[in-house]
Formats: sequence, C-alpha cells, structure tokens
Amino acid sequence: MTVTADRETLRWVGVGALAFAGLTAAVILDAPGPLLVSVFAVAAGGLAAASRPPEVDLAIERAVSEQSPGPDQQTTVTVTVTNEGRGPATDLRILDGVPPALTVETGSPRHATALRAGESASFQYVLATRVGLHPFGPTTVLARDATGTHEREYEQMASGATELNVAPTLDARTTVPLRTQQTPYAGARTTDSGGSGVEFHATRDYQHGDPMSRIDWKRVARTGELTTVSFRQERAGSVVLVVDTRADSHVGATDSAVARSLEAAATTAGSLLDSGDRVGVATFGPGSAWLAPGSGPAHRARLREAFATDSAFAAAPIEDEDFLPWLARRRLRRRLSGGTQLVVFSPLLDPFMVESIRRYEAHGYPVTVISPDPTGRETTGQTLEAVERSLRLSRLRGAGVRVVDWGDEPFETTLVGASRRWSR
Amino acid sequence: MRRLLAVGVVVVAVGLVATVAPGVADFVPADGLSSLVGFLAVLGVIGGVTRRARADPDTPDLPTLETVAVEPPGSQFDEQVKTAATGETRRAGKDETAVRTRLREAAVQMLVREGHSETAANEQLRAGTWTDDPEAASFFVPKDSEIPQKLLAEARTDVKGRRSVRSLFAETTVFERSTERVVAVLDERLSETAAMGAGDVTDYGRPERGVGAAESERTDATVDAAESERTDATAGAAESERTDATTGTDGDERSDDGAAEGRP
Repeated sequence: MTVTADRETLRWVGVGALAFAGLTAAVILDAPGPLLVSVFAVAAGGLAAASRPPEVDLAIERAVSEQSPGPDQQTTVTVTVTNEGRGPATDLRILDGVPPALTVETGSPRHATALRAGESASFQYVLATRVGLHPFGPTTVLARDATGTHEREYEQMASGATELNVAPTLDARTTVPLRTQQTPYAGARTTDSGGSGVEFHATRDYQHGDPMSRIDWKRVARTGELTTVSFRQERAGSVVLVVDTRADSHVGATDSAVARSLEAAATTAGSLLDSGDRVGVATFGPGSAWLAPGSGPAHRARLREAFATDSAFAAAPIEDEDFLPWLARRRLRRRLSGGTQLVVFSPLLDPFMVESIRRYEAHGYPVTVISPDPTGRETTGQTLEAVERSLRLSRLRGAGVRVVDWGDEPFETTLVGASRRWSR
Repeated sequence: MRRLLAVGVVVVAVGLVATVAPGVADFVPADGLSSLVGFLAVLGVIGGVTRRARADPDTPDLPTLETVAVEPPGSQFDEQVKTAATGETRRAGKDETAVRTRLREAAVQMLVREGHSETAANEQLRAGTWTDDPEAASFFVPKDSEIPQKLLAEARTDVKGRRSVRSLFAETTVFERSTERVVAVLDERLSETAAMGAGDVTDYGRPERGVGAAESERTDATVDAAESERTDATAGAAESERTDATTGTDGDERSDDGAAEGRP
C-alpha cells in the first residue's frame, strides 16, 4: 500500500462565516435565537478542524471469469473489497486498475461505498479482450473521514488475478507481402533464382542432362537450337517479427501503438505460418523476448504461448532503468541467421529506430516496417511529432525499406492496399 | 491550533449551559461588549466568505479506466515550449535550445526531402529564405546576423505589427507563437510534397491528406516542371542516403556506441 496523497477537501472552509453571521444577527436583533445557528456552525467547524486523515485497512480481491480468454471476447472482472480495520470506513471510492490497453464494455470499474468493520462489498465490470499479456494496475482507493474534511488517496495491489493472458488464434486469412529472400526450404515465396517452378524466369542454352520437359520445343522447331526454360524457384521465407515495446511507444490518439502492433504481429504470424514460412518473434524493448524462426504445430503453439504469457509482450509500459536500446539492437542482430528477413512493428517515434532498421537492412536482412500511426494534431507538439514521423517514413523509403503507414483502418485493409502497390 | 480549539470548545460549552441556566453567564458584561462582538462578527463573516471564495481544493488526478489509457506523443515538446517561454531561468534556456534544435532538425530534414543539400538547407534557414511565412522564416535567423535583407526587414515589421495587436488579446508569448508557426509551415510543406509525389520514392500505404485538392489546382505544365525537378533531387538524396548507410556499416561497432543515447 502506497499513500499517494493526503489532502483536504476544503468542504468546511467558510463555515466560520455562518457562525459569525448568526452572532451578528443575534447582536443586531438583540435576540438569542440566531445564536443557536452559530452554535451548530461552530460545532461543525470544530469537528472538521479536529478530524484526521482516515486510516483504512482494506483487503481487495480481484477475480476474472476466465484467466486466458480468446481475443475479441468478453471477460468479467469481479472486485471484492473487505474492511479489515477496527473502525468503519465511512466514505470509500475505489478505482480498479484496468489494464491500460483494454476497454470496459459494460459495468464500471469505479465503486463508491461505506463499510462497517468486517463488512465487504463487490462490484463487476466486463472487459473486451485483445491479443497480448495485460497486467492489471494497482487499485486506487480514495478514503474520506466522517466529516469529509480529509481525503487519503492510496494505491494497493489487489490479490487474486493480476493479469489476463490472451493468446492469438493464429488463423488469419490475409497475405502479408514479404521481401525476396531465399531459404533452402520449399515454400510459396517466389525467388529470383531459376529452377523448377511455375512462373517464367529465363531461358538458357541447353546443357546435357536438362530434363526434356523444360526444353523450349517451339524454338527448336523454329531455329533448330536447343534451349532450356527455367522458372522462378519457390521457397519458404524465414521471418522474424520484431515488436517495438519501448516505453515511448505506448502512445496513440485513441489506441495504444504497442497493443495494435501486437495484434498486427499475431495476424502476420498466423498468415505467414499458413503459407508455409518460418516465423520467429522478438521484442525491441525491456526484457526482450526471442523465439527463433520455425514452423509446424509445435512452433505454432510456442508462438501463441509467447504472445500470451511472455512479460516482454505486455501491453503496458514496463519500467526498466537498465534497458539499453543499442544493446538490444546488437543482441537481436547476433541472433539473426543468414537468409532471415525482418518485419518491424513500430510507431517510429525516434531516429534510433530508423537508424536500427537501416543497419539491419545494410547487414543483409531485408526489412518491412509496419508502422501504426499514433500521432494526433491537437497541439503544436503533436503536429511536430506527426511531421517528424512522416519525414522518418520517407527517409526509410528512400533507403529502400518497405514501409506500411497504418492509420485508423483495420490492419487487413492496410495490408491489401500495400500489397497492391508493391506488386506493381 | 489545538489551544484555540480547546478555548472554542469551552466557550461553546458555557454558551450551551447558559441557554439552560442563564445565571452561569452573569459574569459577561452586557452593553459595551455586545457592539464590539457585533463588529468583530461582521469582520468574521467577511473573512469566512472570502476564504470560501478563494478555496481551491487539490483534486486527485485519476487515471483513465474505461478506454485505452494513451495520449498522442508530443506533450514533452509542448511542455518545453511552455517552460522556455516563461522566462530567464536556466531550465528555460536549456529547453529553448532543445526546442530550437529539434525544429531546426525537422526543417533541415524537410528541405533535404525536397531535394536541397544539407548545407544549402542550413544556409536557407540562417538567411530566413526557406519559407514565405515571415514569422517562421525569422525563427532560425541568428540574432547577431548581418543578413537581414529587405525581405527580412519587411517580415520583421510585419511580425511586429501583428504581434502588438495580437499580444493584447493572446495569452501566448512570441516564442510560443513562432514555434507554432514553424510547425504549421512544416506541416503544410509536408502535405504539399506528398501531393506532388516524391519522384521514384512512392509513398506506400495511406494517401496523404489533401492530395486531390492540391492536384486539381495545379496546371499540367507546373506538374511536369515540378516532377522533373523532384526526380533529380530525389536521385541526389537517395545517393547521399546510400553513402550514409555504407559508412554506417563500416564503422558499426564505433557508431553503435555513438548512437547509444538514442532518444533523450
């Protein structure tokens, strides 16, 4: 329990005026009656002056209807408050620590009550779930004494459920455009090298041993020369999804950029796994998570678990003084193996991220950036952030990095638009 | 305070008893005191009412619960501008430098995007020729500069004229207003260049705001001219970007540490 503030509500300030008004009336009218009014005023003022900030001792317990619900579902949170102190708690206002990236559907996470010693009260609210690990914050309690003069505000961690683990379903039906990159594994991504496949790649002189089916017979008939047709080879991509979870990225006009990034990363992971690519995940932020690229049902399960339970995927800012961005950048680079490409989810709010992306690109890891737009245009500072972000986006594009600027529309819509532009 | 309270309690107790048994309060002289008490009581009423009127309770700053608890980035800059505008403290000076540096960087980046070299961009900022807006143009001109030309002198008088009228009504300071102007000009420039399409660098994703309006106003000839100019410019810019990238790779270990500070 940490006391945030002890403050005076100033409810009884000026009650002295009433006392003196009664006295004045009594003197002017030369009658004792009005004096009685001032007696009550003096008594009230005296009580208020003698009161102290209340010492309350509450037990707060939180229960959720389901600890690990699926995304886009509802989960009911029940908070029970018990007065464990010896005296009554005369005026309590309780605000539960709703996870910052979630919204309340019905009910209210606020409750006002008064509790006798040993008595308890409970209230419920319903949260809409979304992908990620959602830690509950501390519960804020505002307690006032009987006269209402003093108010104590303090925070207390509730017992019981402390987080919600929402695992993605990974069954997205979108196609994520990837950069051209080869892996030795068979898959659905066309590459720039010739061989067997579907899409035409090149013709070359016939060499002994080339299969008969790939000889260009029409050309043989026309000129008598033997040529062999090669097709684009199709291979699986190896992709690492990097989510920028630094404290600065927990911003947005209406929705948290990190929460949106996590959802988009889950969608991307699902669709890439479906198309036979190898997918890994990493976070760029405190407590960096890492799951090397892989495929198959076991890997799919590992991915789902990572999104739901790894604390680095928390959709709330993590306080970490020891986090060094450049160290995280180097660590991630060492973990990458050749032939891997990156899909970075970041609101791109600082030059550091731009620099990091350009370095990964220079090291031979093709990067696609998916950038949820968190900027507003209400104040000068917000407009400047929006302008700076746009400049960063165009710098990255100038350096040959694919950037998807993701506004308020659904992620799938943005992807469709981006893929259409790139396929041209 | 405690003693005063005790005296109050005793007086009230005596008063209450006196209502039942009037003989208790016989020691209080009746005539002269009552008018004095009356006068003091009027002062007390005035005092009490003023205290009530001036009371400014310290209300708790409670978190957002029902919706996603986020706000758009940019509050740091707004605060810096506010601190810098307040006055002469050391903190204000530091913040002013930070604000100026950040705006200059953004302006240089904007000019580089439009196809100027970094040196040329800095030159334009110093000379105040980077924009037509007088207030924004004069923001980057050094105070001891000898450059003030005809245009700039004009701009300054213009700004002064507007300042004096506006400052009568506005609560913002000159510094706050000029930062506002610079940002507004940058924002305008951004949507303009986005509408023209920056050469071979296509802006993927969302269409920028105001594309249709800007496009329809422009005649074909100007579009062509702007297009060709832009292509040259972006080619140059891309070239310099590439050089940057390669040097960055060569000295990676060194520059890794150099960029360690990241964002302040």
